[in-house]
Amino acid sequence: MTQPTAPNPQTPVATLSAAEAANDTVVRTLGVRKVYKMGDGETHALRGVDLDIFRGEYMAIMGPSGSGKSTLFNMIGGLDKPTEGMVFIDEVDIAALDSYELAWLRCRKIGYIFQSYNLLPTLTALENVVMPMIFANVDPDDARDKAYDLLKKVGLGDRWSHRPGRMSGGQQQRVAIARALANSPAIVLADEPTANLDLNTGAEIIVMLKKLCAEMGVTVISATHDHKMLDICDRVIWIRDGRLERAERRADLNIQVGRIQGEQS
Amino acid sequence: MSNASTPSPTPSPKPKLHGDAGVQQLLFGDKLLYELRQGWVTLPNRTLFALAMGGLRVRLMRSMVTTLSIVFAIAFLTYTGLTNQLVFNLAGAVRLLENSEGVPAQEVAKAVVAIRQADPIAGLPVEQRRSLAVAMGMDDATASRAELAKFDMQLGRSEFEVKSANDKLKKLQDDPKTIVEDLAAARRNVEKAKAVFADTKQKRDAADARVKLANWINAPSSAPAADTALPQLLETALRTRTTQLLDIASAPGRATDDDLADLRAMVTAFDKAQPVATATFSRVLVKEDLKRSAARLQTMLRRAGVNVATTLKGDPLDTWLIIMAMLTCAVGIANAMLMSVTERFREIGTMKCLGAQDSLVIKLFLLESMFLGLAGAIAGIVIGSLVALVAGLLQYNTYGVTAFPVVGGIKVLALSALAGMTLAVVGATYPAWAASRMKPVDALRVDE
Repeated sequence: MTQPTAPNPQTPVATLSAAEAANDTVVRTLGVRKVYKMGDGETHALRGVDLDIFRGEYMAIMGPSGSGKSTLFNMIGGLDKPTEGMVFIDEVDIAALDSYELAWLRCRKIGYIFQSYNLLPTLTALENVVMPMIFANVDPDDARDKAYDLLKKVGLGDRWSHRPGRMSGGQQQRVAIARALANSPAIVLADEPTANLDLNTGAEIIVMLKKLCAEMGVTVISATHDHKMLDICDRVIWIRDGRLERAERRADLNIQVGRIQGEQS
Repeated sequence: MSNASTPSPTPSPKPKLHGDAGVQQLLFGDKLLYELRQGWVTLPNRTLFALAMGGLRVRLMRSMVTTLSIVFAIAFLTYTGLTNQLVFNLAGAVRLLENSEGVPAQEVAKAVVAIRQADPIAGLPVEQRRSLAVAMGMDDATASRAELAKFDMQLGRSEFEVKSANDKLKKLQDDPKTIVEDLAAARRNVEKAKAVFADTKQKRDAADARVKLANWINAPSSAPAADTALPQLLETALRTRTTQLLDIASAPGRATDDDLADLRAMVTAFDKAQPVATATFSRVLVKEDLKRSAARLQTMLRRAGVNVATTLKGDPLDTWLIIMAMLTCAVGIANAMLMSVTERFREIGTMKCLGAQDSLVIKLFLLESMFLGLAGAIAGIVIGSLVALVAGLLQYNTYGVTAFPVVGGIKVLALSALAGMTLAVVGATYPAWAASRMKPVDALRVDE
């Protein structure tokens, strides 16, 4: 995109990351609205959100339930289309895509990490990681090699043949991370990735995710209430009533951690 | 973007899996699937297979119950098809046998005359006469011995009756008051008793001769050397039987099975002396056998309650039953697959989030259903064939096996297998479509 980014009044003009300085956006939403028809009435889930997410960023979206956080999340993940406005993922407007192209986009550009892992119980860890690559028509042998490498990276090299039922939650989530990274996506969407895990495991998962994504230059967008997660984020965005309420850099955030926690409780 | 899996343009040498020993089997978690892969399944299909098979394995009980309905439907189809083919074969055989021409009466009469004139018994050496007698069952003295004992007893009673009739006559003759009518009656009684005695004696002697003959045939050396009557007895017996058999050959329809066996023995014995005439009798025998088979078969068919005409046309009742069974089966499969889809909302949603195309989801469910269909069809074919075979054996005896359809049977089996697969695919069409139409968001929302 050559057109300059619309100035976002809510973004403080503080320390710019390299990607931001280069104006290298990976996700851009322009005036996104989403209206759900429920019976007679209409529910406005999003009322115009403008947001730029830069390549390599580690970002958290926060907001109370019903704030439109999930809707925005699904929109960025290519699972849902906006009623109005545009969502660009790697400069592709998802509103213009049909379901086949959306599947293609999800397959190659986006990795998902779910709160409840969502591994396929009938497949082994390796097969679970291979699966998205099969969807992307990767050569089977290459897919298998890459899947094994990824499993090694998340520390499960010796458990490739286990089925999810025989793994702990932390191990399952690590398989899920490997699966999310299988097709070298531009974005990884993590929906409360640590909510089902105990503190230590959650911390391990967060560190691992951060490290791997930094290595591979992947943008991570997560919906979370986990403060450990917020702690290592580059940027935090608050959503309230379908609007972008606040966006803060970590530099600012670090000073305010106490206050956020106070607000939460 | 093409959906076909395109092999990488430059097949770069792939590194052997990092040298880890365990990793060598890394490809394949599952032995069976490993074998499949070795044969013809490539990895993308393998993952699909693993998914479909896994779906079946996890829901083993329900899969088996669903398969059972396919098994029943296909077994019924196979059984009906095979039985129809069998009845078709049997009915064809009956018609063929019934329509076959008998040996012309003229020809038979000529052969009878030829044998009568030639008197082949005379030309037979003693040894061959003996063996012919054995073949005709003359060596078996059991029946004759029983007869002999019976006639001996009758003879005793008959003797006593003759005596008492005589006594009565004498008494009447001595009595001066006897009237003429009574005397005449008594005389008649005596005559009658004497006739009965003579008849019984003749019968007894014949039985005695048969017993002696049988004993001699069995052990010629045991007879007194002086007894020259025995060979003569044998010749007479053979000649008598031959005359009877010639009559039987002219009208074989009423002959007993024993008669036919004796005729067959005669034909064999006279074959050298009278080849032309015996050939005619052989043909008569063959035709008669066929006719009897046809009659037996028809009895069996009647007893089995088969209406050949309707069976060949396709019994409407059977047709309806098969159609109903198939429909029920398809509905059952559809139901099971719909449940499978509902249970796997989350799995489907996950796969769609990860970029699975709609077509892949459809393929997955069709594949799963086809496994069911294949397993059910194979089991159904085996069971149906076995039942058809056993039922054929019970109803039509050995004809059920000899006339068992082979070529037509293969057609029936192929049709059954096809029907099983089609059933499974048809039943799974809607559930697969429903699964593919699910929105990933909805799918993920279900469990949250």
